[in-house]
Amino acid sequence: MPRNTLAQTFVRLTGLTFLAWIITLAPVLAMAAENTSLEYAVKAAYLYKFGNFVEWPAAAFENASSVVNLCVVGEDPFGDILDKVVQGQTIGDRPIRVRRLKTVTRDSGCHILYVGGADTERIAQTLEAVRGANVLTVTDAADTGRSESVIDFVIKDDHVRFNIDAHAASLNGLTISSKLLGLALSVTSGK
Amino acid sequence: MGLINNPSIRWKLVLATLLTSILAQLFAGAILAVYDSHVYQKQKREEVLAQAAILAASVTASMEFNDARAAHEYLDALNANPEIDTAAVYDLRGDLFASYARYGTKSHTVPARATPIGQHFQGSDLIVFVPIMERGNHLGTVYLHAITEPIAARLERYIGVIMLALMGSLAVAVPISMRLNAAISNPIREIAATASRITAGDLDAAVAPTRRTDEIGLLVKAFGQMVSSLREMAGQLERRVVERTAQLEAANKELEAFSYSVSHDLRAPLRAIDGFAHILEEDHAPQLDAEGKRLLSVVRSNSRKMGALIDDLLAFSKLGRQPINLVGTDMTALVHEVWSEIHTDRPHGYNTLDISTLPPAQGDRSLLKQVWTNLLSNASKYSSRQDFPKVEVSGEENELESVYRIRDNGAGFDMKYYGRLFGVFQRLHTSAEFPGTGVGLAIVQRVVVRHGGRVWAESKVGEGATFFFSLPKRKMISGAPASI
Repeated sequence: MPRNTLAQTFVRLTGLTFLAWIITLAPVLAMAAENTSLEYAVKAAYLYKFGNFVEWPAAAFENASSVVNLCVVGEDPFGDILDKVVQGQTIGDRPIRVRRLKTVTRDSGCHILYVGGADTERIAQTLEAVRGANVLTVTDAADTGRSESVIDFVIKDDHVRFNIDAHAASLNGLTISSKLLGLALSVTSGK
Repeated sequence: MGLINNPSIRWKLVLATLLTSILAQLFAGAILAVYDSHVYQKQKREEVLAQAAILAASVTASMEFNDARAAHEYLDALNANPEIDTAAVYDLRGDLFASYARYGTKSHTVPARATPIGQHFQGSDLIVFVPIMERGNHLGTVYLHAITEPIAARLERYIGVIMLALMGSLAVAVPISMRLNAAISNPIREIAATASRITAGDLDAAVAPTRRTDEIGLLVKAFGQMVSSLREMAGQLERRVVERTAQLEAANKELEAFSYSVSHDLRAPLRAIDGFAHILEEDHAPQLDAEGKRLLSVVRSNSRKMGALIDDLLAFSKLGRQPINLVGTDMTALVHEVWSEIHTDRPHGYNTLDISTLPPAQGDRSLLKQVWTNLLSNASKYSSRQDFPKVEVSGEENELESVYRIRDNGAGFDMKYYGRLFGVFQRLHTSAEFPGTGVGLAIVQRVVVRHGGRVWAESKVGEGATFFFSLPKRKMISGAPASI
């Protein structure tokens, strides 16, 4: 199983060294192996890195060093890769905590929310549930149709890329760095 | 050094101004050049570091999300800065992530791997490595290679600029400094010219007064005061001379009038003595014995001698008042005439006269005749005791004066008494040796001096005497003081 291979890899490589390695080699590996698990390893890293280029309102946190909640709701494609990737990482001075939820509400305390799976209706319901809350929503449904999330992963030229919905971000009270916007394949700014 | 000491003060001032300004400008230029080349590198370093920092901030997201294409876009924007030759972005492990090379660059390629953070110059090439940071996370390294202007080229340009500035400023400074310096040197030159005119005797020379209050003004003022006080002193001196001359002339006239009246008044009693002695000799001779007759004749001869003295004294004092009547005179003929008169009058043995042709003279003929008479009779008299008495007369002339020479082979005199030779009644011999009153040479001197000439003599005891007198050839000083 690919998961076992990756697990062995993680045993050998940890921390920053691994992170750098994965950033550099992820596209190559993804292209060479057509291994969807590697693709998700990259996506897992991107998930928390988005946090570095997004500004939450101050009210979203208790204080300057309180935890950023990275929630995965619905189908979980990452397994423990996400936990390993996030381990020891921070967003600014904030530590990151991974939470896996069956359902999510405005009061779940999520700052980054990955909504997995390809069930567009369920995704839409989940997104609707947190609409207006200060949540950076990320979906993986670009190839199945339009999503209402702030960031939507896309695979282009064997690279993991993303679209950004700036309107959705502003509805959720988020400010997205122009550096991140510059990397998006497309930016939707309004309806 | 002639170049420094000899040119006029004006050129010295100009030279000093120019040398000073050239030195000052060169010094300032050198300091500027050194300072600039130091600042230039610092400035370039800051510029390139700033550019690198901007680039590092721009590529963070590209690094995080592994988007080399986006990083390339940022790198290509460096094209706007022609000094950036090559640039690159390295990931955290030091591997090349994206690179840039300026279009047309040949020799420069980016390093394959990142080197430690820092900046340094390789000659004029500036190489910079700065870290890529995002929210405190180290993401990689930015590399920039900038080509700056070489210091030598910069210095060369600087030297050119300094030279241009120097020439420009000299072109302005030279005429101005010459103008300004003329204000110093011209008054000094004027003072020097006036001073040399005054030295030459022109006491009316003056320096134009000035309103300047600087040192030149003081000099001009002081000089003017000096000239005017000099003029005043000269005027005083002249007035005093005129005054004294008038006093002297008055005293002299008085003296002459006195001696004339004295000699004149002495004659009357003398004539009485002689007359009564004569009557006594003629009418009462039989009553006198031989001794009485002898004493009477001594009285008569002495009174005659005194008469002669008084005559000479009168003649001498007359000379001072008599006006001089200048005519061309043939001196050779005059000497012959005088010689023959002397020798019919009172023969002095077998004197021979040896005369060469004499230069003619401008003078009063009767007075010159008196001179020759006195000198020739002296010569005859003092040589009369010789076996072969001889008198030589000669003369010569130059463009200023004629000099006449009378030489005898007689008794001569001792040069230590020369000071008394031309004095009135001064005699170097007794009357018993050679008769005479001692007025002859005094008359000679007075006549010659009144003609503007000189009299002098040379002699040795027993070897004869030579008398000289000179007469000026051109202008006769007829108005010379009549008091000598």
